[in-house]
Amino acid sequence: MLWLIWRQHRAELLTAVVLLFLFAVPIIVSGLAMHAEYETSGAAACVANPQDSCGPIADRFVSNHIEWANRLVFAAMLPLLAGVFIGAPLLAREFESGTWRLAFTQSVTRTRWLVSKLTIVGAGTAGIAVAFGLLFTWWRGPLNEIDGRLRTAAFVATPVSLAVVTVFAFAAGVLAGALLRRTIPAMAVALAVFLVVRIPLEESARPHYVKPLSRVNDALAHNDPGWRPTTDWVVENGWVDSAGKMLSADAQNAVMREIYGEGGSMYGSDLGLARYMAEHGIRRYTEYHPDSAFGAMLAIESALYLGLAAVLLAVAVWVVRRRLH
Amino acid sequence: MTALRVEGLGKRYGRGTWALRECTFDLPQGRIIGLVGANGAGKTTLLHLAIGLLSPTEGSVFLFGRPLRMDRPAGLAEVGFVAQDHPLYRGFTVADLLHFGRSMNRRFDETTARKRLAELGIPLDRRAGRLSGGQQAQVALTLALAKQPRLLVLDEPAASLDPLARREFMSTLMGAVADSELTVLLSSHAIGELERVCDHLVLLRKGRMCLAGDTDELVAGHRVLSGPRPDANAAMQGLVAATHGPRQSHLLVRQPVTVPVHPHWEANPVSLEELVLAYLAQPETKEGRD
Amino acid sequence: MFAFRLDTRSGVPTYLQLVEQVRHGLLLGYLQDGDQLPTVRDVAAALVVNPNTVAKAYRELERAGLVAPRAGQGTFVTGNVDRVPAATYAKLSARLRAWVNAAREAGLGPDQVRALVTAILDEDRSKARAA
Repeated sequence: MLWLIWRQHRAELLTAVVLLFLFAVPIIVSGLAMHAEYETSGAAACVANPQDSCGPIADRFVSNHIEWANRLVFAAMLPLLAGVFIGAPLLAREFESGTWRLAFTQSVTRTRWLVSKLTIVGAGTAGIAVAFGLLFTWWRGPLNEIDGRLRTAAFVATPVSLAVVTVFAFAAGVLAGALLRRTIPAMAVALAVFLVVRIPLEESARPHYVKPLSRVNDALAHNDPGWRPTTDWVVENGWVDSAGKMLSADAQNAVMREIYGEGGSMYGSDLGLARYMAEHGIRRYTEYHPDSAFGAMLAIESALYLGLAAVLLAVAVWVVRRRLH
Repeated sequence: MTALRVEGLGKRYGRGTWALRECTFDLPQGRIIGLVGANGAGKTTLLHLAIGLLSPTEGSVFLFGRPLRMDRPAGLAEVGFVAQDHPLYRGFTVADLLHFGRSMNRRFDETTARKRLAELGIPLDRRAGRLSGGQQAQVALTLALAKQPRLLVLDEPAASLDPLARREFMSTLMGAVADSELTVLLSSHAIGELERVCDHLVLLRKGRMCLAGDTDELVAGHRVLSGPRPDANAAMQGLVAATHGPRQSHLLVRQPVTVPVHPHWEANPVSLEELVLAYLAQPETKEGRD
Repeated sequence: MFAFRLDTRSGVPTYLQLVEQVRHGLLLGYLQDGDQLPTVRDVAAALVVNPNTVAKAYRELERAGLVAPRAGQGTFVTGNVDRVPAATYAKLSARLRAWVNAAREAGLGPDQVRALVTAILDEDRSKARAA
């Protein structure tokens, strides 16, 4: 059984390892340079010991690397490959070529065959995802120390998040293959299901995994402590009036127009705005997740994707066991 | 001892029509049983049900006296199967396929399998996808035989092969049967070949069984009566099929040789091929059951 | 080794064809006492026929006392068939050949010759039965 799984999936494993290698080379090269620059530019010292003068240093460091960092957001799409190229063909290929009749008439029951395959191939795929996650997260290390590890670009590249999303994509592919029995349509459906689930969860669900904290600041806050790492993940901000009610976007725009005039420059001093807000009792309102929420967020994300994956795989096993023809 | 017993077996796909209905028969052990029927008569469905590849909608299957359950390794080990178009993992070499068989079966006679492949001149390092159709069929048969099954089921094993490859395939099969206590159930369209190869027949028509029995007994139990054309629709005991000329009629009847024949009629034995074709062409209303 | 062949069009059951071929071989001297017959497996594979059919033919031959199995070695001809003595065979076949020539000269085709022979044989048999 183990040998069969190895024989059938060794090409996929090899491809994944080659892909990992192709990613690893530029990432390690640029990562080493970035980690060195982090020390030499003084950014590391700033994070360790924040001072007022640190703002420009940290800003320069981040802007030097933001382009690459943004590119790595596409890591969020890597699990798609697992769903389309490993999950979808796993069963569809057997049905399409008729080899299921060969596989299911050996002395190994089809349930054991399927469960072994799903466990081992799924675990292997997740392992590859963890390797990618470790690579990305290592690269992002200095940026995460400055900007926090909760923002989307950082969070999706963490080993755990990448692995659980990969397992979900794999499961979606497997079920699509079990139901459609043809490889290309199964790949298309795996792709569609992944996008339909992933994007909404990413966009709207994750900020609400745990209840965000909130804080209200006076507009003319003289107690500005100076630059420090912004490890909070701000998910909502706006203005509240003296009664503590949120101002709508329209109301905010009206205030802006009143202060700066129609078509006036927005890039002038903040002073006018701050004064206006102070006079009218308007204060700044922020909802955010602190860095300490990272563990809980990761646990919830894992439970969500692994739960979905478990349901999909269970249905796939049921389909193969029961409704085979 | 029966190798395979099916009782009231039926299969319906989804909510659609029944592919197979009310099938009941016993297949004797140690025999070569032919399953005959037109395309779409339900042969593949019956074979898949017989080995638990498919679960029945109704009825039950007994393999060597024990109820067949899907997903039981003990039952799976007793059955060898060569599916239609003899599917193999195309990217696997022949040696890989032997390894596959070894790792998927507790009992797997690789020595004999290697010997057989060597006799057939099939190279072990060739990928299955690059073998000829006949060689692929031989490899599929070798894999099924290496399991040392008690029942070997073949779904139109030689239908896609050229005459020479077909003969070689059937020759390998006959040799393997002679070597062991194997019971073979095979579906085929080649009635002429079945006559030589099979000693028991099951006929399917439109998802229902229309005849089953030992070929010798079937042939002995039927005869053709030729004589003057009888009065319209005159009842004839055990009439299976009739062909009428202007004044003469030939009637295929199911009756023992001991039944006396009217002096006007001449009785002749019937060939198995003639018999099978008559039953398969029979209109639906007349159901001859065994 | 003795080679069987199969006439699929004759309508004669396979096992009977095999029995007849051995009998015929013995009569004409192609098979002799002590000759080994091919194994059931070899015959089944070579002719592509059911091994059970071959085994049935061998049982039939055994029952007729024409062959006997030797444990672990195979099936051997025991050859107690009433073979036509060579001299008799030569004499009779020469006379038959002359008769066939005469029949041809009289305008009889092979079918008519065969029909005539069958009719005489039938007549002979019914006479023997009556006696």
